[in-house]
Amino acid sequence: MTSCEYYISLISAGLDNELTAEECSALTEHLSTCPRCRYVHEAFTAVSGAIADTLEDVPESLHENVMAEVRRIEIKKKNRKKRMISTFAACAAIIILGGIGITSLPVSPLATGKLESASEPAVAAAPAAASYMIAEESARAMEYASESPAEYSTFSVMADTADAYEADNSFFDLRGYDTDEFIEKLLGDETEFNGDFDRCVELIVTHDGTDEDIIVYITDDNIISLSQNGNYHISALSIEDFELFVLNHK
Amino acid sequence: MDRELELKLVQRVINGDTEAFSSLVCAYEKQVFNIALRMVGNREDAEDISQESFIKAYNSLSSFRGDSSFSSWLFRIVSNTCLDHLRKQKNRQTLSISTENEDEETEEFDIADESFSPEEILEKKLTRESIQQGLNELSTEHRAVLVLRELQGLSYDEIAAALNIESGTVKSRIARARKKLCSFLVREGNIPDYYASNFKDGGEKS
Repeated sequence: MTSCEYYISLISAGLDNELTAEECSALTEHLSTCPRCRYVHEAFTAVSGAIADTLEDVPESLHENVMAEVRRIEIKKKNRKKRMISTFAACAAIIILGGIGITSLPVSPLATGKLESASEPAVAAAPAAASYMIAEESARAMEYASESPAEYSTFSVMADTADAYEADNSFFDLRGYDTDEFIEKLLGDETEFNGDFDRCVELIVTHDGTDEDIIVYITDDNIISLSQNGNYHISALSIEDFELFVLNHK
Repeated sequence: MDRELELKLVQRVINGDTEAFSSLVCAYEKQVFNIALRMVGNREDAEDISQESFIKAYNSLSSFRGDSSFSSWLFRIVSNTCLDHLRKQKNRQTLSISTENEDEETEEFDIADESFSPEEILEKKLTRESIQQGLNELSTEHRAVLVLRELQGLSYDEIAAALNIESGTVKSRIARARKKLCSFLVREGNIPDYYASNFKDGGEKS
């Protein structure tokens, strides 16, 4: 680079207080003898000031809209706690009604026990939609994980924090969903569910594209695992069962 | 707002005091909105992005570790939201918008006599509109580094971390962005064109 080009890069860095003492004195000396670079210095300074000085007023609706949304989120969270039962019962029902087959994973008493109380019409309509949604969503998740495993596994990654929740089991790839999104992912719009959990994380135990790939959804106190094996298998299991499962797969 | 107060408010929000979040919104909405505005170029999108960023921050507040100040954490969310928005926009508009050629050389201008007064530059009107138009002319990458620097006051290292690029790249991109912006403003008559050839691009790596 020419001498002036070098000093122009110093002028820019100097405006940002990113010069070493040596660079700073070299620049000062150069500016005293070079009108061309003084011109650049002047222009950069003026433009830099203008960017920061021309702040526009904030739309009045912004603050109000943000807080309205925050309150809506809070109400949603509270309602969620009130709604109870049946997501897992319904999932268990799908296994049977849909004829997909049960995995080798143990099915928790909670899931099987609630089976009779699950809403019959809703559940009967579920299997086709469910397996379709799961197939599609799992494929998408797999693809995403193989594309950018690092980003996927970083739970605090900014682009994904909107619906991300802290996860206790952070040793695998995790992604958070809010309840509604999760239910939609799992079963699509066609099925009504009453689920009650504050968080759900998607955990990919392995994601190398083989038949062994398993995606596990963890909610507050239940695990639903989906294993990719030609068909998708669903089971609900307790945290204890899950820990055993993880140990066996590590 | 000092860092201690920020942290107190954050803690109150985490403990369930929704209204404490209102104070944080009040303190930072102007900066958040203006960063978004500078990045995307129109008020409507800037407002949507500002709202989205605040909600993202609210929802993930428990993952805020206090390693950085709340404001720089928030600004990082804003710039990432803007970059996402611009990427989506770019994908939608690839057919109609030609991307900036990195090797493209800006116009050369006649070298004026050396009797100019540098102060004249300041006398010329650098309006909000002309600056915004100039920023819109920059590539997304150049605009992002410049806005992060000028509006958020982040250091080169902080910008490098936020955008996941090298610190040296930040330095050269900012210098390049300033040259391109000045070159545009000279063309538009907002900056007198003495020695405007100095804004000719010397290349990103130089």
